[in-house]
Amino acid sequence: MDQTRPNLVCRLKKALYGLKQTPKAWSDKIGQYLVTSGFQTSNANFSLYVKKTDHGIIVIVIYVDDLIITRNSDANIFDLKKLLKQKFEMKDSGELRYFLGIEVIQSPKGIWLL
Amino acid sequence: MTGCKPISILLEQNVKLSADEGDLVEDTTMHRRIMGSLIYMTITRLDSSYAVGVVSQFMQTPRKPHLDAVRHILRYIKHTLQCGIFYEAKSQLQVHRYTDADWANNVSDRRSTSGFMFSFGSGVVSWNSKKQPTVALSSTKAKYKGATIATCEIVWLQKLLLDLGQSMDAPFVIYCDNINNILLANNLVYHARTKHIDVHYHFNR
Repeated sequence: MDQTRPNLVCRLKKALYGLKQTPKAWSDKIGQYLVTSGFQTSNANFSLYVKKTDHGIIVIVIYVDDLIITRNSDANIFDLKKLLKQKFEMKDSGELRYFLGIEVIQSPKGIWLL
Repeated sequence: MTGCKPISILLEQNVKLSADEGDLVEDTTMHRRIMGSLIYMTITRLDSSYAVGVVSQFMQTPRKPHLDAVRHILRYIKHTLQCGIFYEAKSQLQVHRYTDADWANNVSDRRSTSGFMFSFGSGVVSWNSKKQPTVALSSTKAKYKGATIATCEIVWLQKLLLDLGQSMDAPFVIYCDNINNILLANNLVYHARTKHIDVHYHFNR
């Protein structure tokens, strides 16, 4: 604080890390980006985004800053991942193994949740 | 608990836990920590959701019998560590719904517990076991209320499936073990004898 002018406060122009508005600002930001790239927000679950393409659908589930991306057929998710990496600072952790304490095992036969 | 003996039963039969019997547990923090973990575990382990629901009703003042029941659950978990939900790749995508309820099983407030389970294809996708908010005067009512909760879930599930591009042309298959309920759901002719059910929702006020 400026000692000579103690009555003045700062007005933030951006949502800083740790503020209570920050989570919403982040969710708006990634939501907006996904919507502009053709995704639709699900009405049943706001952290679920679906994009329908000619080849099938791509589904994204967001938990704070963790994204699960999946698809039902040949829909291209590699371009999407590349675009996301360009836009946000992201790391591709590969195939889903653990999520929020749930172990996921994937095989051609099906998917196990443990 | 690491050296404990695994057990294949979740809750001992016919043991009714009550809020004020037995000695108080000394380390309540530990008890609550275990309970927190158990509740989180029900996200993937639907088999334990009823048992966890029962013991979590005594978080306020945990007593010795409650702690014993929690230990019992932990031993069961040890027995079934390898179990999980399996979603088979080549399964028919049909939603099945199962509901059931007990009647006035809680000894202290005589409320019923109902549960439902939805399976989609080979795996379970949504389930719930919850003590009903009101007293039911007959098992038909208890089960009917449980079915209502499950129907609310269906509405949401249908929306979700629609968003995922999976329109449900085939109707949901509903399983329920009470013949009265099936008649009640199919036929409104019983209305005069059952319209007091909505009045009874306020019975315990």
